[in-house]
Formats: sequence, structure tokens, C-alpha cells
Amino acid sequence: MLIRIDASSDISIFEQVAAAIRTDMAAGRVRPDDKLPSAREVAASLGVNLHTVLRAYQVLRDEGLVDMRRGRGAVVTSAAGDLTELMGDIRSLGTRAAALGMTPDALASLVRDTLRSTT
Amino acid sequence: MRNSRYVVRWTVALGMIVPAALAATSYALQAAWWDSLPIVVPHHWNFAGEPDAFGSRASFPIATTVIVVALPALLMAFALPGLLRGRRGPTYRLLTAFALGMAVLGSVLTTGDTWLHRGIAEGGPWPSTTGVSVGAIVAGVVCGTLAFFAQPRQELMRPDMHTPAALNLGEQERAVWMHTTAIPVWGRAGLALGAGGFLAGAVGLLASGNATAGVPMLIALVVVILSAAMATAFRVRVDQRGVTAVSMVGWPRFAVVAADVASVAVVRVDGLGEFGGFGIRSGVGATGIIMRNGMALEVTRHNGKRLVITVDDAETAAALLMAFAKRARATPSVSP
Repeated sequence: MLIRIDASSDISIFEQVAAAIRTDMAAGRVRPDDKLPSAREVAASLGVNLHTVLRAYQVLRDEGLVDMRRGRGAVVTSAAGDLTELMGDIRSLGTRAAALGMTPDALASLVRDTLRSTT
Repeated sequence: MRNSRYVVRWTVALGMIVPAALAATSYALQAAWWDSLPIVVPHHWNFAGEPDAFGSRASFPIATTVIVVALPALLMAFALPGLLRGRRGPTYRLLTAFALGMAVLGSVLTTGDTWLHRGIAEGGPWPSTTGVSVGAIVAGVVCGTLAFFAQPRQELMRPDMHTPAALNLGEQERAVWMHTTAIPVWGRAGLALGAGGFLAGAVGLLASGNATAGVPMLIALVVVILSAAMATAFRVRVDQRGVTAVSMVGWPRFAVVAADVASVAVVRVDGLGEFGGFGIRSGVGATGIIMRNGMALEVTRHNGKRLVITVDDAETAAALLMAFAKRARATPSVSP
């Protein structure tokens, strides 16, 4: 599992951490029933506050992607496995957008803006 | 330096043909002296050199089969698959030398002991076997050493080794890569089965009142379980500080700090041939956390020593570690 964060980005750190884990879930690198590393370890490795990582884990829990269990920590749910089904759609969307000359960032902005306005 | 074309030939000659010849000679001599042997011979000697356990004279050819035939064959089974696939390295050379050394030790020991017991009457008096034992060890060590240096040098050659490009980490970026690695499920099942059998044996002994055997067996079981827990599952992490592998039970811990990383590679590991087995291993110039065969992260320190960790997604780990190593070189830390 790879977590990359950009301290200079506008996106808050905890959102970046959650996004990185979500990407690993969608790519199948993090699988249902896997145990996420302890928030303490992740915070120490990234050099960020423990509560920032905890907040990221809570985001994932609110999305139903992890279960926080006493004594076991954050365990990946089966819903995370369903994310992998999105990968095919994402790839074909990406190919079509590229054919139109769109960068991945531009496509991401378009997706975000479109879906935000419809929910 | 190119590896010699004759590596496999030397391996087969020293690791298979010579032990086979030694075995054949041992069997022949033991057969020739068979009739002059007492039917029952000592099997074990106490610290004073006196026999304290006895058994059949067949123990000589049986021991020959185990030490001169089976053991070298096992070591060759470890080394040959990798060698035939084009891998090279100092450990293969060591395995061959070991096979020959064991064969020499075994043949001198068993045939020497047979020779000593010719013409001895049933029940004794028993000859001293200390001279033969010492001689066998010396002969084994000397021949094994000669066998090592007689072989052509083997420079490490792994056909599947490559160095991925370093991850492009921006100045303001931070990252961590984490993964677990453990021996396969069937390995853990086998260990559990073995532990269960051991436990049953210990309990049985204690229940029948045999504490002298039961208690040590229980202690041995605890030691084995602890060792297995420490050596069969690890958490691997690559971050700003470097690469760290910690056993699931917290100890032992293997690490290379980013500043000490000279080079990083992804390699395909041959556990038996390069490290002589699985678990926490020591190879020539390398420490290995070898949970399985296959792709591994290899980190070389500035002193030339390597840390090899079999783990999935070693590519990403390597790319990230290279980025951190580059960063550490660019910004030397000042000690407080």
C-alpha cells in the first residue's frame, strides 16, 4: 500500500491519505479483510499528526470501506472489493478523455464538478 | 568478471560424483569387513568415551547412506535448479563444498568405525573411536575448504534483476509504502501441525509421569513456537527514514536507513540456492527475510552488505526507497 501526500496541495492531508488508500483498494492492492496499518505507524512514517491519519480512517469508515474494531484496528470491508469494479470504467473514461485531449487532472475536475452539482 | 562456463560441471563433479564415489568405496569396504564385525555394536558414547547404547552393525551402512548419500543429495537438490536456470552466486559454491565436506566426513567416520570394530568379539572390549571421530571432522573440514576454493568463483548473477526508476517525489511530497510478507498458508499449517504433534507428545510424556523427557520437550516446543512467530511473518515499510522490516511479534527488526542505501533492486530469489532455505537467513554478504521464492526487494548498503526481503509489490517499494535515498544524499543531516 502506497500513501503519497503533497503538503503544498489545497486538498487537506487527511483527504489525501483517505484518497490514497481508496486508490489502493480500487487497484486491489488492499483487499477485503486486510488490516490497515496502525494510524500511529502511518503518522510516524509520513511525519504528520496522528489525528490527521485517524480522521482519514474515519472518512473511510463513514464510506463503509473500513470497519474500526476494538483491538484489531481498521479492517477493510467487502465494499472495498467492489471498488475494483470501477477501475474498468475509469480506464475507459480516461482513454476517451485522452482522445479528446483532456489531461487526467482536467477529467478529475470535470467529474468532481459534475457529480457535486447532481448530488 | 564473467562467470566460468564450467560452474555446473564443477558442481556436479564435486557435489555429486565425488560423494557417490566415496559412498561406493565405503559400502564396498564395509561389505568386505562385514563378517568380521560383531552383530551388536555401540551406537552412542558418553562423555568418558565409553559406549552407553548399542545397536545393530547395520548402523554403519545406514549412517553412510544418510551422511554420504542423502545429505549431499539434498544440498544438490537445493543448488542445481537455480544453477541450471543460469543463476550464479557464492552460496551455490558453498553448498557444493558443504556437500563434499559432509561426504568426506561421513565416509571417514562410518568406514573408519567399521574398520575399528573388525575382529571385535560380541560384547567387547570396545575400541576407542575418538581418533576416527576427530579424523573424520578434520578430513571433512579440510576437503570441504579445498572444494570451495577449487571451484571457479561465482559472481552473483540473477537473470531477473532490475532497477526500477526512482519515484518522482516532489519537494513538498511525503510518502510511505507498507506491506506484509509471510510464509505461505501451507507452511503455517505445516508448522501448526508439527507443533500440535509435539504438544501431544509432551503432554503424553508428562501424563505418564515422565518429567525428564516431558519437560524439556515442552520447553523445546515453546522455543520453537516463539522462533516460528518471530521468523514467519513481517511488516515491511519504506518511508523517509529508509526501509524497515519488523516481525509480527515486534522483534527482530531489520532496517537500512535512507542515507546508507547505496543501491536498490528488484530480484527474483531462489531461497534454497541463495540462502539455503527460508525464514530469516544469512547468505554470503547478505541477510535475507525469505518467506517464499519469487520477487524481492534488495537493498545494498554502502559497506556492500545486502538486505533481501521477499515481498509483493517490491517494484513500488524499490522506486520509493530510491527516491528517499536520493533525498538523503541531497540533504545530509547534521547530527545534533
